[in-house]
Amino acid sequence: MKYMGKAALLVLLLVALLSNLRLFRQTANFIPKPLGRDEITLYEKRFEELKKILPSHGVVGYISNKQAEDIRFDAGAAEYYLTQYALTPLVVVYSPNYPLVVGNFRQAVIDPKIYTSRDLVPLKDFGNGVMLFRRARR
Amino acid sequence: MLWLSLFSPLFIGFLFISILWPRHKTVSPHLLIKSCLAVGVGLGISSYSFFLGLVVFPRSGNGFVDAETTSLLALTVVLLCLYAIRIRKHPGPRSTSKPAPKSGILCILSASFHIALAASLMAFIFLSLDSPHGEWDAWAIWNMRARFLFRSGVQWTHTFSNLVAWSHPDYPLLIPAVVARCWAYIGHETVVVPAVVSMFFTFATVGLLFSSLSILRSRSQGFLAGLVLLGTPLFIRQGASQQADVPLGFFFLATIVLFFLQDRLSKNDYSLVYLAGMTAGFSAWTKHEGLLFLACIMVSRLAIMVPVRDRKVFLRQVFSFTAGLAPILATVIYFKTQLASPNEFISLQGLQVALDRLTDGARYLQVGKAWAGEWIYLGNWIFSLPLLLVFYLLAMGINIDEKNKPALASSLIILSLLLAGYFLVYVTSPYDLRWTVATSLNRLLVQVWPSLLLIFFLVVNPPEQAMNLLPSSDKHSTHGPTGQDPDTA
Repeated sequence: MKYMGKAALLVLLLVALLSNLRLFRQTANFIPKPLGRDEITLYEKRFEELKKILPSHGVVGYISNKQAEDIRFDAGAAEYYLTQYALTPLVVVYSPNYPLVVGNFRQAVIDPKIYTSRDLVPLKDFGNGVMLFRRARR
Repeated sequence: MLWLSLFSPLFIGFLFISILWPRHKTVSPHLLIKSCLAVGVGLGISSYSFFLGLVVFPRSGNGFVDAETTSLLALTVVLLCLYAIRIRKHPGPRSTSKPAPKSGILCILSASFHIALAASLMAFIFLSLDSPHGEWDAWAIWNMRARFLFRSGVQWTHTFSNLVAWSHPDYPLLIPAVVARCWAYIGHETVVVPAVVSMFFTFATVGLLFSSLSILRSRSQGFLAGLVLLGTPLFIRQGASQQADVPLGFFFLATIVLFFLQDRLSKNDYSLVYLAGMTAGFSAWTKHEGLLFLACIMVSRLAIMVPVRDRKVFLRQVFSFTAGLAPILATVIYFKTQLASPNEFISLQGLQVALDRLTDGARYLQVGKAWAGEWIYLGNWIFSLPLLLVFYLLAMGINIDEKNKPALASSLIILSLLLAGYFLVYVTSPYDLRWTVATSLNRLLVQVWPSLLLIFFLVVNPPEQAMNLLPSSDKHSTHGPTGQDPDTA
């Protein structure tokens, strides 16, 4: 029993320590980025100019060239979630049916059909894939 | 200002706990356990007061900071006076315990624990630097809500809009309110705040597990449990991810520990049960699972206390627990009924659909299979620790301290009911079962793992006893072989 106990203690100790040190080794391989240079902060910077002309509160629409049938399960929808995160406290709704609509595109040339087909008129192109639209009056 | 905003709640929490703690001559007895509990209680109180400030004085803006600073100073003076009066009135016994002689095993365990602690701290910092906004749910739910609270001013209730239902606007606000409060103090947002708050909760959980086992059992058991928790990479990763599961796990553990300590340290007053009421309330203010935890506590204490103790003791405990719980629970109820949108599990399905799922045997089988497979390897250990713990239990044997038995039975009922509740939530889930299990089961493990480790190391024989390394007098010690104040470690 004594030897069995010692063996059990030793194995438990080793497994716990090695699991712990393996995590340390994995994370120590990270190349730490300076504060403010991480992906999310850089992504948010794209919206800085847009934020200056948007109202401080309220609801805005959102369009992109990503298809998101069910945004909850669509990995591509991370960009929409990140836009909401960046533009908080505005409420951003994945829909073109609002007076002001934020466009978030990740391509150099944007096909105008994306917004004309939704009755949207460009108000400003911020030049980094971010655009602001207003809903066309019929 | 940053550090004042982060540490002032801990200071208040510590004073609050010291006043309620069973009397001792000096501050030092149980210093570590009180400090760890102060993290949860202090941050919980600060979150609660910030939320009340928003509800009652939504137009106060930065006035909140001035009002809170003034109140904190006044409260500190009052608490210090109360503490001084209490010590003068009830000097309490002088601590006569001397540091126990350190066995070889204890030295090895202590060294291993400290190595693991240092490695975990470094890993936590690296992980936080790698994802300063936290993982997906952290920025999409918790930190975003903190931004709403901080940036919105009088429009702060916009955060509960149904238009952003994907961000779970019905989730309770302990973590977002703590973060938003600190940002309000310093006047701007910084990713340091949520990262440090997560670090506080993660390492306070380790400290609480170690210090409580040192008091209830032995220091060797405390070191071992702490080592196993630190040796669960998933726990450190989840902590650094800035999600609410580690804080919730902290409140679960704190509540269970306080029930144990009530039975061991405090016979005639029920101040520790009052604290347990607070920590249980804060668990409900952290995540929905906390409400289930509350229900489990009620059932288990009723099942254990009434047959074991007389009804008077039970009623006094119920009164103290309710006194600690009531203000926080009232806030949770106000939040759920007046501000939050309906819970998606309820709104996405009718009662009949949920009942149909509950009576569908195939769903039980599917969830059962997923649980059985996932629990064994969920922690990202190099070898399945749950299996190893079974082997360890068989090798060391069972040795339960008589004094711990009622609280142990009650804790087992709480955790069993909690896990059964989680299981049924999966069975009735309106989402794809495989997806739900794959994306959330690991977080449930993180919530209950510290409490399960506490129970395990209260049941298993301490190494010195199992290997007959103790003089016979120590073997029958109610505190175990080296059980004493962990601060003398």
